[in-house]
Amino acid sequence: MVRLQSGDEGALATLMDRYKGPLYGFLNRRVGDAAADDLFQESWLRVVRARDRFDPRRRFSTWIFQIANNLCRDRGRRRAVEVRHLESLAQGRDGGSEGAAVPSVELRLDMRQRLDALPERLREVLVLRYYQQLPERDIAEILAIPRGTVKSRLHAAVKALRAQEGNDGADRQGA
Amino acid sequence: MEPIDRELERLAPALDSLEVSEPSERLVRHTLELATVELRRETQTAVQERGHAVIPAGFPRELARLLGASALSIPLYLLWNLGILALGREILIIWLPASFTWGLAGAYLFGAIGWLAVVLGTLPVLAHRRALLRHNEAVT
Repeated sequence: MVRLQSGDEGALATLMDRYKGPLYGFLNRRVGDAAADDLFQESWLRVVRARDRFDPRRRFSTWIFQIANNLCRDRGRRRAVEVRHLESLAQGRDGGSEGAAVPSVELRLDMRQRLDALPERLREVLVLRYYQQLPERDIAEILAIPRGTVKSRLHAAVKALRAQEGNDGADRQGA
Repeated sequence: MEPIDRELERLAPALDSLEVSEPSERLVRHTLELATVELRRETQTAVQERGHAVIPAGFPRELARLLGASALSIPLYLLWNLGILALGREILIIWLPASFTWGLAGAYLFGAIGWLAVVLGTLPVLAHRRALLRHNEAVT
């Protein structure tokens, strides 16, 4: 990373080769296939643009996951605004019919949908802990939250997944 | 193992069902191209903004090259000047007092070392300039 800070292009290629897999895996699990490609590119551009602000005492992996996670959050916020806007347009067209489109609760959820159904703050902790195998200390640093909060969110994520599992089983029995 | 790890282990079959592929070669190549262009642009901008305060990539190599070239000529320069000093003093001592010729020799030596310092001192500047030119050629 120090080499990249001095403008070494070879260092960029080396870093990308080393972290492309973990970063893409993280993004894919956080936002899905379609958006992962865009955020993968954007993450590396941010690495280049912000390289002077990187503190060499930190680990690069923690830093790049922090960048990627912030991009995921930004995307989540943008999507939420878009969804609200579309909902308001649809309500205007339908004369404000209430409770019309809560999508596909009955569908059996696969893991992707179950992850997507988790609130973002739980999903990011779960992905970093389980899939990226990061210790709580690193997750706390990436998300800029206390370690205790990491623990409690991880418990909440597991609880939510188990609840989904229960719902899924009940749906199958009902069908 | 902490309780949460046991919980995650229990959920592992479901969690592991979410397999993700590696990024495609095309995506990685395209990203690397974009990031490299960005890196060059940023480096060039930074160099322009900070002027000569920035040490460009390749500066140590250029400096080593110039020092290597000058290292060969320095002994010749020193030998030449020592020769002039010795011979010159022998000639001058015929007409001038000995103490005065020592003074002249000292002044000459001081001048010769001064020139050497000036030449060596410009090497980092030259190396910086050459590295900057090479970098700009690579970017454009």
